[in-house]
Amino acid sequence: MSSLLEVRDLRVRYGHSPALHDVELTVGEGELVAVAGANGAGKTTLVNAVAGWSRAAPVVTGQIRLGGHDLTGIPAHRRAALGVALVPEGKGVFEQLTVEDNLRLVTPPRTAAGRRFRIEDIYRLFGQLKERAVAPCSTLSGGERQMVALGRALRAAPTLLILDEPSVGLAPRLVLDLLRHVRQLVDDGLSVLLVEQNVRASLQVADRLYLLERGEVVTSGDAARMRDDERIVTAYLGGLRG
Amino acid sequence: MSLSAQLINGLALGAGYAVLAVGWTVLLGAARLVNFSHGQLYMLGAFTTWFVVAKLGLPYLVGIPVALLVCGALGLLMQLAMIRLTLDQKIVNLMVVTLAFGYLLQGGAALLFGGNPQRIDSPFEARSLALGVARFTQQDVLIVVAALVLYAATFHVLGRTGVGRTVRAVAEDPKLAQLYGINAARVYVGVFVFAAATAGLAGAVIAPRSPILTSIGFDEVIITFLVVVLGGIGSILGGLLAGLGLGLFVAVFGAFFPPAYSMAAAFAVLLVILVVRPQGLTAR
Repeated sequence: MSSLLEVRDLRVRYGHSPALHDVELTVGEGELVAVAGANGAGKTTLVNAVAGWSRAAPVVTGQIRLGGHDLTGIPAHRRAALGVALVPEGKGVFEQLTVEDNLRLVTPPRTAAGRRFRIEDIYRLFGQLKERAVAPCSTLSGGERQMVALGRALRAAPTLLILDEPSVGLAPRLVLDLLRHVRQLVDDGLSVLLVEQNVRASLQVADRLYLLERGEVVTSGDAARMRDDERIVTAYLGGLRG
Repeated sequence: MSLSAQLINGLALGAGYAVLAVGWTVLLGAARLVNFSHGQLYMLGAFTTWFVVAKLGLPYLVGIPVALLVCGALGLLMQLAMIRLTLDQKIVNLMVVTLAFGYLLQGGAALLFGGNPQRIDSPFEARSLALGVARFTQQDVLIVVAALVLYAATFHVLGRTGVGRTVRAVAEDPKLAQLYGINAARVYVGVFVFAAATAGLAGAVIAPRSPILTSIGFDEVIITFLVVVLGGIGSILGGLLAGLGLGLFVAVFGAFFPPAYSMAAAFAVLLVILVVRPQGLTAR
């Protein structure tokens, strides 16, 4: 499988505090790659660095390439135009805008290489959003907001979709629904980088998985193989096979 | 002067205040930006119109778009110069920098146009109309029409178009907007140019009512502040209502008391309103 995203020697620090050390990561075309790890491991820092986005002001060095484009040093809005769509953890929608306004805010860039989603396609994917089309996002439930955020990301016709902790605050059933949707998108050809604290859930849907600890990749590999790895099962799945 | 004449005078005055304030309403509401050279841009709009009419011999109606373009272009240069401060939302620095721009504009205008008072020769100012016993000029009508058209257009663009949607998104969260592929810097520049251009427009349509000097502008900033806060920061409808309300108040108050006290009285009313409704008249 050819690599769509290639991250080499990625280092990130906030002021004098290092957050990531020499991270190497790849995502292939039509592949779902999960990044898992405990709180503070550097998962969000890693995906934000790929999207060129952060509410803080980190110092980022290393190389990030997407489909032949060097993304290093390019601002977030231009990376979005090049095919990177990040759904950040927490607030990922404009709360004062309606559902439809959030979706209409994004028009696929002329250069977008990914599959194009019309507003109706998003409503077909997430049926309940259509009923809430004119509702301000501030009135939506956590699950509905995640759907809007995901729908907004898809509207940009991305080649790489990055989801940062999409399961936070969602009921277990909704998490499974959401991950099933994501898996379906991958099966249709989209590449996804998924950050999940829940290693078990990640292993269920991902093709490959990277485990981060204190800003470093401690292990990575095929998800199916890792599900059977005693060391992983003991350390991250509480010794129980799911 | 009769009460009906004062009401018509107040309506024209208030519409002028509203035109003056619309740019700041959008600037402060949508971009959390301030521009303390707003009054000097108003002055420059007035003098540009005067120059086009008196020195170039062109019609007054040509002077209006020229004033709008000149002030918009100056707004563009100013915002490009301070875009870093804008993106970092360094409000105190922006206050000082725009104040400095204001003084530069005032000094530059004095050099270019001289220190004598001038009058903009508008054909509409000379034509009187009557409504019962009340008399007013076509210029008054022009100001009211300009205010209504400008507010209707701003309301429509912000509320119903893709551009407005983008501006509202950046107003809510400029960082998140980047993830939607929006260049927040470009939105800030656009909003600043709009505010500067409308200050120029205000100068072009309001200033023919009285003599102009390059030192005018400070009172206009204060009035703008008053209208924006009274209407509720960022509220377009509030800006229009507050502008009209302030104009009517000043005119009617001036009929019974010395005009010198009218601004003090207006601020007293503002204090009372802000105590009762801290969010302004119309903001929720």
